[in-house]
Amino acid sequence: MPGWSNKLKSQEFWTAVSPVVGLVVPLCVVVLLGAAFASHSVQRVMITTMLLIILTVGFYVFAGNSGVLSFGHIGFAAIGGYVVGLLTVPITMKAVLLPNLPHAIGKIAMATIPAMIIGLICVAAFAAVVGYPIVRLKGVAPSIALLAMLEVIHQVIANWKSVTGGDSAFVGMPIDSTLFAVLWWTVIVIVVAYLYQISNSGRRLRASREDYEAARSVGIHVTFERYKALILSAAIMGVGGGLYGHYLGSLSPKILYLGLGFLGIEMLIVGGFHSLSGAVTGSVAISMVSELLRRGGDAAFSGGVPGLQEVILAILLLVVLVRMPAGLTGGREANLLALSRLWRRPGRSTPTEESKQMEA
Amino acid sequence: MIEVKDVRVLYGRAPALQGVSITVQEGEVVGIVGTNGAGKSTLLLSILGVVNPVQGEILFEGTTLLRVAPEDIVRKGVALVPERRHIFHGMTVQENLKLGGLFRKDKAGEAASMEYVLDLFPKLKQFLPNRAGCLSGGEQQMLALGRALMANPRLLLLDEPSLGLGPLICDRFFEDLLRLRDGGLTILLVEQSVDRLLAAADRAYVLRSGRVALEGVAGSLSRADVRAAYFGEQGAETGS
Amino acid sequence: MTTFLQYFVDAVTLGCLFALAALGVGIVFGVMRLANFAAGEFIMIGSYVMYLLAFLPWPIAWTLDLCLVALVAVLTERVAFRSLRRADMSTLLIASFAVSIFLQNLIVLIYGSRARAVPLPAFVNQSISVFGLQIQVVSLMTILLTVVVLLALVVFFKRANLGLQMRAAAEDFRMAQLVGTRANRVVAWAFAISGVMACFVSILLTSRTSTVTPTMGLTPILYAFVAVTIGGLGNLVGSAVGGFVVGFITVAMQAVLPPSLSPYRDAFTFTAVIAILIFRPQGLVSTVKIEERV
Repeated sequence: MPGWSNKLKSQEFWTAVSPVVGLVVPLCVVVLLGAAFASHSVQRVMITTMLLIILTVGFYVFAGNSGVLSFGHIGFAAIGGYVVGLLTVPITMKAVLLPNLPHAIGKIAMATIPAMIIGLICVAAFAAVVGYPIVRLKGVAPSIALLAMLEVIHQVIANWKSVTGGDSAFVGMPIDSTLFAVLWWTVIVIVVAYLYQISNSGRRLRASREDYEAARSVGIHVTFERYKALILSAAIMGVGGGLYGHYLGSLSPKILYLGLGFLGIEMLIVGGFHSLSGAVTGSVAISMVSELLRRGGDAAFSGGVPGLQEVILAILLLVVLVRMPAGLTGGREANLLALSRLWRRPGRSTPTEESKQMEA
Repeated sequence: MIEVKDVRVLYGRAPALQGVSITVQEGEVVGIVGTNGAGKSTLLLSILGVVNPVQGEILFEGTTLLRVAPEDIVRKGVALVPERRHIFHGMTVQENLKLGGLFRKDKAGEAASMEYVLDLFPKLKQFLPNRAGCLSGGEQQMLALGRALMANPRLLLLDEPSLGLGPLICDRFFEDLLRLRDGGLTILLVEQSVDRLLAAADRAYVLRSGRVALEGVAGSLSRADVRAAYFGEQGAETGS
Repeated sequence: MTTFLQYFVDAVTLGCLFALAALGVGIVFGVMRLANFAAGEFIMIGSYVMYLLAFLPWPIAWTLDLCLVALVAVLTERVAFRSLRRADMSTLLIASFAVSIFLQNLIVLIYGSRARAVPLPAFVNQSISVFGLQIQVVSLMTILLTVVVLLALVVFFKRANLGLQMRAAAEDFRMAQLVGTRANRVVAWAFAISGVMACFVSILLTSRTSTVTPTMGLTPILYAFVAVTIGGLGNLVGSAVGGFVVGFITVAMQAVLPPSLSPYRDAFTFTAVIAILIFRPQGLVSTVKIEERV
């Protein structure tokens, strides 16, 4: 088919897909290699890194595109984790651990994938209800409101003993977040996030991020765009939460809470607040640093030192904020074309328009 | 009194000033005209230390102003009446004026300045306890000038004072400025209105695209020359 | 009737506590547009200092506490926030989160995450009979202190040179510099004052709970943030009003909710706050624009 081969050769096609391809392909390659050769513990690190990628991308879809920080997004993951868990814990276990469950839920147990889908729909619905008053706020207020929302979610989960088991661990979820299952979801999440970003809706939102007033003056309904992003990002967080639960096999209110939420923010900032590649890169980078610290800590102090890792990561974040506010990627997406140019002319940099003007 | 030598300023990668040199002698009124984006405000901001040139020198009475914080430059005797006035709306007229002279160590001098300003602008005396945000445009302009004078400056910078003011109020304002000049104040004035500028200033510079396109004694500059330099038409020359 | 009055006193006391916390946050927000999440850790550190200095007589211990927390606040400004002074609100907020995590985990490194008991002077938990009501000394302290603080702040901002400069800096930072205000001094003092406010909160809070944990700062700072938001970001009157409103809502929830729902009291309070924000997104008392300049 002539059209197709032309399309594959055209620059526009590659510019459009290269961010996604540039992220997904290396990811798949690494995971495949890991599945084949890596030790069990390294594979576990890969899984947790991908889970963090999902959570960070979820956070990015809202915060990175709209410019509105959210400290509460991890709350969506918590809802997702518990909803999915409630649907997948076997009926017999439910009867024992959560005897006071409402009848209907107590009698259901389903496979993971339908549970995940129902879970993400539930989280999206929650975001749809709660999100609208929040996205109408201006300045720092929506960030604070989202933090308050997280606290509400946390309190409800921690106190609704009959449904969530309260403060104690909520156990019984089948541990089926395997390397490939998580990879599958990670790829879907990245692709969805990218499709949103390049859609008209996503572009409108990004315009408002750059200049709120200017965007409104050209007719962009900023509140509505933020609203859509919030719902989509909540759904992604729900997926992350569900997968997390199925990785650990159990959840408690403290797990999907501020510590993890802050880690997600950190990963996005370090990677590059304004780009999807930043979300992925930051997750990978921080995961690696975190893992090195953990292993180093284990070697130096048996069992590791509580608090040390967080202190170091906090300092790292501050340094990045001051020195490299645009993060590792500088807000740019993975660009295969740029790589190919480097390949063709090693050592020669292409003259840009700006440098020509400077010389004039 | 102040020498700006070959100053270059970049906003990001966009050049705002590309080698501008200006001098102002003591007791002069020097005017700067140019289109929007020519670099007039940037020039004032570099003198005040708000913007840092990447190249060039700015000397005030022999000492450099580069890498000096704005609040220290003000203490050296440079005051600003900014574009659109920037008075503190939430504070009273009295507080605005007081702020202008707050850094001064000389309390007697501060009191004398306050008296001087209120004499100069009786209207302000009337509005002392009122919130500054309630004043009209012209009154706010007076307040901005009064606040600058409270600092007892030796060099007064004004950024487009006629902006947003009716013509009669402008006339009054420029009369006041000339009276100040007669009292010994040195003035560097950025203005959009060429006529007013040439009428008030001793010497003038025309800026275009970040460069000095024309300079000369105000009386000897013809309107045609200025217009040519302003818009970059054929025949515009640099140097007087 | 007595029960109602009792609840009223509780509401006023809690409102005072939140108002103090909110004022601390509001002052720094005014000069720097920084919603300082790390103020929660100032409160936490204030309490740990109380724990450390418990062997000293309380007037000395508490005064030292105030000085130390103010110092910590000024240090965090110098080290973490000064280089970010021109940054946008979101960057500053993230930075304050990072500082908060840093301080919290620093304490975990030193003291571990276990809760510790703080010995308190005896009078603190006694009750006095006032008009037939039993009021705790610590509640009276809270109310009296808040009144004094509010008066002091009013005088400070209206009369003191530094107060004038702070108001100017809060309204138009650049212009304040251009009339000779020393930016670094004003910001440092704003942080010092916020540190003192935070320390007041830690003394009053710890006098009630008599325990300290590294994570104790989260709830107060969250309430402070919510109070400042509901009051109207960018003005101090709003912060104080917001504190009182949140205090009243909290106690109202406590009084109204049936016992089965009372663990969710905070959840209801925050939901009520969000509801208020639906109808007045700009806050209850709004005078200053809090958006970035166009």
